[in-house]
Amino acid sequence: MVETALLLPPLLSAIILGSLYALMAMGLTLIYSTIRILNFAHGAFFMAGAYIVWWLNTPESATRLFGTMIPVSGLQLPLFVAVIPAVIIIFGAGVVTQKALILPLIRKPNTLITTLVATLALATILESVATVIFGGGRFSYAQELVVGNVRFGELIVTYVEIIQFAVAIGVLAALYLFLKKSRIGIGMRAVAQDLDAASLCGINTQTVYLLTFGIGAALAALAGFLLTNTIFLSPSVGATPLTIAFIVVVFGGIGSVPGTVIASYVVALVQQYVTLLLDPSWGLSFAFILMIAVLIIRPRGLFGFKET
Amino acid sequence: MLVLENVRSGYGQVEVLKGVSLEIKKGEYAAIIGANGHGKTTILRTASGLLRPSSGRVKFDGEDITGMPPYKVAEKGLIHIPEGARLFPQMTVQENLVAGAFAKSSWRNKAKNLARVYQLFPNIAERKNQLALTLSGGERQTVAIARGLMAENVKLLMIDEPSAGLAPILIDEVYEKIGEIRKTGVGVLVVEQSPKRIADCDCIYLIENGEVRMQGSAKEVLESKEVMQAYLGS
Ligand SMILES: Nc1ncnc2c1ncn2[C@@H]1O[C@H](COP(=O)(O)OP(=O)(O)OP(=O)(O)O)[C@@H](O)[C@H]1O
Ligand SMILES: [Mg+2]
Repeated sequence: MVETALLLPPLLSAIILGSLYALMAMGLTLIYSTIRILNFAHGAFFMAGAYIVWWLNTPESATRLFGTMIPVSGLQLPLFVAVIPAVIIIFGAGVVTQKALILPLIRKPNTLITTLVATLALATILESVATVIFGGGRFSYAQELVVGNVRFGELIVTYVEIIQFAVAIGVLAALYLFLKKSRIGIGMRAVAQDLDAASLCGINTQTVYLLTFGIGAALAALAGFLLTNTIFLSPSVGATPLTIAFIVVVFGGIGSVPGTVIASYVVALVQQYVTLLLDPSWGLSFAFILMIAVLIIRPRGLFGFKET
Repeated sequence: MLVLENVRSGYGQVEVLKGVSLEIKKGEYAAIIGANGHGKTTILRTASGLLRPSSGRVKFDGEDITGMPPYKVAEKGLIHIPEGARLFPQMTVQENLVAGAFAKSSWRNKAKNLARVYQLFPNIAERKNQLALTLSGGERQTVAIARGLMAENVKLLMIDEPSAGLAPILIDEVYEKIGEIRKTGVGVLVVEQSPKRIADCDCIYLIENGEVRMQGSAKEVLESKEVMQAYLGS
């Protein structure tokens, strides 16, 4: 039997990890609910954001470990500074993707499938580009984001984890306010709920699409940066987060913002406890099994709306 | 104000409008009537830019707006209230109204326009925090009209079947409100099935098979043999 004291650390990890999953998955949810496409390049934006931070942050001296072929900017920006240009660049990459890749495919037949294949292709290309530039090795940042930890009795929480949690929650809260109150946010929700009615309200739906894709990609990049403070960075680092984000999004009810948040924590909890009680390698599989079980009973997920 | 010249339009390969011409003058009260499926909605969708005509011109306020995207048409002051109200179901009444003020020029004045709209429709002010999907049919129609009026500088309001699915007493109310809107100098074009609601229109168009079968004053059109035939027993 597992002692109750042992059950607490996974709960804490699940809360931190769940917040990061929610941040990652929210980008997919926004893009699906507004543009009605599934973005398989989401994991690649996650990866690319982290590499840009790494490139801006890593000192040249550190690359000697990897040989001389690995490029770094030499700017040595602190991590929390480097993340800003990284997120902005990936926002721009998202806008360009919508304009150059999605827009030509949308409003033609089979949009869901064609955009799925196109974003999958984009993901593969970005992964190859990362491999060509940085090699296939596993990197980590030259410094910790912040050093230290706090103790709550038996529990130890690192400052890095606290920052991961706080930034994820803070950004999600800001996003909520943005969607609720701002002009563009209201436009995004209007487009998501009724495209024709939205355009009759004077909403430029093309612009809303561009911004939505940009914001979705930026969220992935931010999640990529936050998570790679505690996991290794590699060209394929986005694959698992992408899978998890899809589980979360489908499980929570595709397109549902509250569903995405709740499902993120459920998946993280399942993963953490399965890791503790069984084996780490089972964590994700059990999350999948749970999702499938829920979908059999409730095909539109926990909070999904009926398609109208 | 709104002019359609020989407009052909439809969906994909299906041509619905087969050369429609009509003209609605500034501040006029006009109506489009006709049986189901003959292209009334298609006329409004083509005027507001949701559909691009395959030939012909659409002009508004002296400007050629053929093929202009709907958001730009709305900014010009040509507002289309779609059939079935089409509110944003997961938004509150007030959020729906605010969405109607999306254009930058409207957004600046949204507080003022909200107050104006709530004054015109006090019954929806009480429901401003209610989700649109929970409204009754009459309330939904009212909010749709109010949302259209949140745009700055509305010149012509095109309302597609404001009375559809409503009890007669609610229809009276909706048309009373339309009367009040007209008093502010805004032109109104309604699509209407019921002849008695539009007896005071300046001009009525009877649409049949995607063409203007007849046009003229309310008296001329409503008392004509064609309309009598079309609506007798229906
Ligand atoms: N999205 C669409 N795709 C294909 N055909 C359509 C579409 N919408 C309407 N139609 C067809 O176009 C024709 C005209 O439709 P329209 O909606 O303009 O008629 P209407 O006069 O407004 O009818 P109602 O009184 O029932 O509202 C109909 O035959 C209809 O089936
Ligand atoms: Mg119609």
